[in-house]
Amino acid sequence: MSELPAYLHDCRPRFRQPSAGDMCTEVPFMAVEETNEKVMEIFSEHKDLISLPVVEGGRPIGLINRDIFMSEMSKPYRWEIYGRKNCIAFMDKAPLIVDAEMGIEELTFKTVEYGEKALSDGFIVAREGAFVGVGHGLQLMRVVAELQAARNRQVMHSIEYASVIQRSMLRASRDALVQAQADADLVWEPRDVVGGDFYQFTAMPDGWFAMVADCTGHGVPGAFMTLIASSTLGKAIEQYGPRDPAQLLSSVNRSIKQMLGQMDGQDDTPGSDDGMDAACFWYQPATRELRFAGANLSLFVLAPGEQAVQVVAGERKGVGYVDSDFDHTWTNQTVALAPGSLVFVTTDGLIDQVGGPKAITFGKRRIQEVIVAQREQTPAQLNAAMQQALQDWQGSHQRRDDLTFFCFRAQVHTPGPTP
Amino acid sequence: MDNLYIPPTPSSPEVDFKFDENTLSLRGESYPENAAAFYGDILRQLQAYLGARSDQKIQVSIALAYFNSSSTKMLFNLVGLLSDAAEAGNQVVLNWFHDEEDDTIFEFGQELKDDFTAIQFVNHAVKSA
Repeated sequence: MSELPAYLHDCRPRFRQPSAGDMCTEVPFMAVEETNEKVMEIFSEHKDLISLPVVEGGRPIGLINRDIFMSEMSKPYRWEIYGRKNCIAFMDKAPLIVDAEMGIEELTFKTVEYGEKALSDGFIVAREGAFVGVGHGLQLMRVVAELQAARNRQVMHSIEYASVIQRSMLRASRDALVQAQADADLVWEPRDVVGGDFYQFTAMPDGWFAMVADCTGHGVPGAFMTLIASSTLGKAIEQYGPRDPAQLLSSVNRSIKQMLGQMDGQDDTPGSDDGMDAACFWYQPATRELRFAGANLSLFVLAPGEQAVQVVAGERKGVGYVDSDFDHTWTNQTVALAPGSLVFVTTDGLIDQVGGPKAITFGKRRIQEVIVAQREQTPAQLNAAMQQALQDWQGSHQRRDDLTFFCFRAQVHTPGPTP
Repeated sequence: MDNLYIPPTPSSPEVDFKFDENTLSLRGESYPENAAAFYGDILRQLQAYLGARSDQKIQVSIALAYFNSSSTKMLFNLVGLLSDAAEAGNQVVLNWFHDEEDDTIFEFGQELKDDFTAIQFVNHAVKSA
């Protein structure tokens, strides 16, 4: 340390993983030839001393536990017989002895393996065999807890930063949505801080494009997938325009497969089999025509005056997966929306959430019930009611997946021609 | 070969493959952090077992209350292996269990039934207690 320049000396603490040596406190210790009277004297002097190590020629050979020692010495004639004898009589001859360099993880496993004794009496710390001090179970637990918290903190900070990036990526779409459709609302809730669900909105003078998608995985791997899927979708929109959702799905399918090497037949075992489920559509307010293409996700439509929600099922084919053919083509389904119709799309996070008295999935039926019950409300109110219904359903169960759902109401009055 | 038993966790199902009795069972929920890692070895052992069987009656029971999208892929792979074994001359019965009110799980079973016709699919709607 001394050769470090003085100006850095105080401000650059070296990071080092804690080890057994850090657990060790200096305690009084006995030389092997010292007497039990001396042991008694030390224990009386240091009231909080749980155990007293015994050293022979600088090397630890045992540990005297206070309670055992006291109870033995209080028996009849023990004082008279053992008082002047050396202190190994009531000593534990096989305490846990660890090297000061031993890592905390190994030390913890060793201590647990050794049993209660090592936790209550403590363990002896030695350096190259020479006695250094004693470490205690409680202190070890404190360090383990701190270490655990520090590791969690580090991972969480990293993920929180990732979340900033993911949210920034999604923000442009939110802005596009606000611009495109006033009567619309979106809920995006990753199960963890980042997630595998994403959405994309693109506004054009004659209409707008929407996609709600669920990439495989959640958390960090899911978020990686959203970046891949979202950027390939962006490219596809640049290339083909936003008016043909089926073509966009086909294009994203090819891009993901190429990018992740998920080409069937090219390699026996591709490293990954990832992709996404998606619901996407192009909507023209002037004609109220909605062109939908779905990959394992459906579209829910409730027209004014209709009793039931119409479910427009997407194709049962995910985007990008190994078993989705490279040249698979999705097809568009055209839905003519009646004025004031509600349109709702969701990822499976809502449908599959486990809850209720029997711990079963929320299901499409309950989604339809909420849509029907909230049909007079705004999309934002409907979504809030959907969130509440899900929360009630979920109760004390864990959230199982990321959640994204989107609702809008088709214009009641046909908008005038766009300038 | 040895039977395969993996105890359940909150996010992974109980796997009870009694290869010596030709009964395979999967119960619980499935959303492990890495579904490919969890199912990789299971599928390998299943494949080895099925490869060595002919003219056998194999009973499979699946009772899953939840599975995420990665697990769904793995389930398809698993049932795909069973289907291959059925096409190779074994009689494979797939008992699919779902709560009578759980449409989501029921519908997934129906998809498996439609996709893998070589397997004898038996739907069990479990009544609430």
